[in-house]
Amino acid sequence: MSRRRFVGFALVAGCLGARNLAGAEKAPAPTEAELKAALLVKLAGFIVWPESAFAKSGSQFEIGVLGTNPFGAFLNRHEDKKIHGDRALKIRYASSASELKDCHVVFIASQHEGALGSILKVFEGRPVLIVGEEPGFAMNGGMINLLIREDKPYLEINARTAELAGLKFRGQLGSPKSVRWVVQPSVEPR
Amino acid sequence: MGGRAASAFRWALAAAAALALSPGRAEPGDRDLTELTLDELLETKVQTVTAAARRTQSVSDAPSAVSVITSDDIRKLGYQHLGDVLASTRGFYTSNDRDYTYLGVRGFGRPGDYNSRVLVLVNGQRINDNVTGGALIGREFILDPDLIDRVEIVRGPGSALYGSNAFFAVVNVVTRKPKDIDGAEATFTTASQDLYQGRFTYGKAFKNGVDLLLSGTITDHAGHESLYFREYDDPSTGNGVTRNTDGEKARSFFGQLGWKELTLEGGWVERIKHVPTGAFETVFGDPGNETIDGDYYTRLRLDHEFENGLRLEANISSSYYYFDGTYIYENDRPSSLAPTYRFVDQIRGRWLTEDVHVQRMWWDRLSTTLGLEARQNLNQDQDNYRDDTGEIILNTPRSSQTWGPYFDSSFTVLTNLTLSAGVRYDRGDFEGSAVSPRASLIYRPIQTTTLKLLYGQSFRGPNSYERFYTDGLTQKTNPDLKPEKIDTYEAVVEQDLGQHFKASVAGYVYYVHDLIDQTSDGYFLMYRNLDEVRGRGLEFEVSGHFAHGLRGRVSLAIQDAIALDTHMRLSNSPERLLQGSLIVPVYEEKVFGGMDLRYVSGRTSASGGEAPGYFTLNLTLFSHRWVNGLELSASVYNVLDRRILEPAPLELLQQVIEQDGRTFQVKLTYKF
Repeated sequence: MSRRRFVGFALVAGCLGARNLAGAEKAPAPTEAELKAALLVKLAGFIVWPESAFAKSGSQFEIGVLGTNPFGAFLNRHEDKKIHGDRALKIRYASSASELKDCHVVFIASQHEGALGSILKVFEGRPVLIVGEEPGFAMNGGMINLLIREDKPYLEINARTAELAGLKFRGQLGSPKSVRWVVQPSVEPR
Repeated sequence: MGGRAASAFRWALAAAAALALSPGRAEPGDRDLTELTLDELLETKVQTVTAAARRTQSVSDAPSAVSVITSDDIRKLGYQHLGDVLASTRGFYTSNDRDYTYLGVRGFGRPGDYNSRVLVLVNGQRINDNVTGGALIGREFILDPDLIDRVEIVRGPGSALYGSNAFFAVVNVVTRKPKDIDGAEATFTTASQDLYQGRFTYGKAFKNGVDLLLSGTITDHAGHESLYFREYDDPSTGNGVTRNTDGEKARSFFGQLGWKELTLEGGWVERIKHVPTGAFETVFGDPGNETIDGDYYTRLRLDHEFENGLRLEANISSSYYYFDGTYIYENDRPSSLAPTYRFVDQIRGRWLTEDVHVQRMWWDRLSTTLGLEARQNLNQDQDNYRDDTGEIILNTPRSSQTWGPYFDSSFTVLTNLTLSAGVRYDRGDFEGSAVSPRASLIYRPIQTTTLKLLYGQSFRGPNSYERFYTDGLTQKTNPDLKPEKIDTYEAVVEQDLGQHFKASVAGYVYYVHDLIDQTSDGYFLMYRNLDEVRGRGLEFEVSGHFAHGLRGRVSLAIQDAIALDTHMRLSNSPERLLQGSLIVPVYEEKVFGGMDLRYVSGRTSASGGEAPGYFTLNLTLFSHRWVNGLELSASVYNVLDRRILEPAPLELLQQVIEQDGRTFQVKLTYKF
């Protein structure tokens, strides 16, 4: 090896003596599908369901996807995770709302059949968190709208429709930069 | 492979394979984002592109056919400079005349064009100079490839947003952020032909809100000890052999200082290249033939979002480009004792640019951008003179101004249907006026399928070099040049295939009117407005992404660019391009193998020479996380040692230029 090459490598190798902070390896940015799938699972931890919501499901926590699945296989990766204590997460896919009546969370994909109003009627009075991804979803009766604004997620939340379904919010759900309360909760989340 | 090369490569291979100590971190394929807090998730950015619509949007929403090459690709595939990155991208190809790297896009790569038909940006800052309109993309590019976070390649006309030069594509190079570096990095690179390169970078996001990035790179490349050109195979010209005339030295610096919404950024590069080819009829084999290119810019940016959602971006920048060409000619004065004389060519370009644009989202459906860009070309000077007599051949100090308001909009008609339209009006002292419209329709019949229909018109004004340059020996002026225009029609289908694959098919046709082309009458080179050109093509691409960092892509471009009056294929226009890359985890997630392959079909040169098609394969072994903070890579380029000939520009006696055979590179980076 030439002297110049040896000196060059030695200079860099000499830096090994310095305290190193294990320079962070930056992973490529996730796709929208991957990020939304993670948010859907994460948001479930910020909602309180009444005990009656788990009477039929027992040890399972169910998320249903209504319409054309926008998550690819990203949502399935979270199956069998423990949500709300020891409850194992299960994912169901359906094209009609009535098949998902017993789920705890229902995600209404932007590609779905039937008008939003008639879909929401199916879940009326049931402790089901309804999440969507269309403009105006939270204003039109949905509970949480999962949007991507420029390059980051943005939530619109209608706390009133959630409370009418017997659900409560807990904990700090993000900052005003990333969360807009279309309708505020009647009680401040703790 | 030579003995020294083999020795260094084996050394690097052994080091990479042997030292595996620290546990690896999950590659994107199997990371779990739910391990982040909700706040962290809400701050996570999705994959986006900014150059397509001058705002951040996802790749599938961009009103163009877009490719994004990441820093991970650059490291694991051993790309050495921006030209290398672009040559691996669908529909792009390069050629090199042992001085500059020239870019061809969709079958179009004209001789004498210093990449003036592709707009190159660094963080949105125009790099194309104001005299030749060119952008340097080889080792003379303003940015070290290790500072690149991603390269956004937006195909198609972009003048509706960016004005002149955005003819075939816009390439936006986005740099790494100070917080991504979070400390210091030192890199040492060595490669064939005695190349040595050192880089030191410091980057930090401080708690007081200040972000700082400083980076400098020095390159010293001896080049080939000897090169043979059969066109000079005569005893009077050393039997075609030139020795120690291929050297190159470069220095570059990049800095960024950010505080809240303000960013001050600057870059500088200077590259000296010896020219071994006898270009412009210079004395073959004389080590005095050299070109010096320097590029410099400083920019202040303000990025502010108002409470009502209106977003304002304002930029003011100062840029400077200089060129010094030294050409050695045989002395034609009988009274002179010196056998040769130096002919000195100089370009000095200095310009100020101001750009302001506002963006707003209306009713969650309509996004609008309104902007104004103005440029004062303080200097567009070209000079040349004989060094022995002081005789001045060309002395053209010039200045001019351009300005261009622009408007762009995107309307979500339905959740799966988006219409976009935009227009820009440009007016310049040289270019006259031009209106550049564009329109697109993006439709998703199902969530996994995206259809795009695109139309755009772009223009490129004749630059100072094309209009006014003469050396009294080889090139004449043509001040009456008119702008050239292009109309492009394109259809793209992007399809997700299951969890791991993505495919796209694109079909396009473009028409170039009043093409500005370099011609020769046998004695002098001159730029003229020639007839119409039509290009059309099909592009196919499949990419796959799996767990543990395994990923790959392959693309095929079938293209046909002809002059409409003769129906003859353009020179330097390959019919087929096949490009592919594969990154494979070799040992846990600490050692990766990268393979980059390219096939370029045969081309003719401007002077009628034949450059046969060639296939090239590059391999890289990359390792990290075996010792904390250390990265080591070893690359072999043109592994099969294929003979590669590329078309030469008209100023060379050679019709084709032979490229390097098998070469290697070893790079060591330490982060601390």
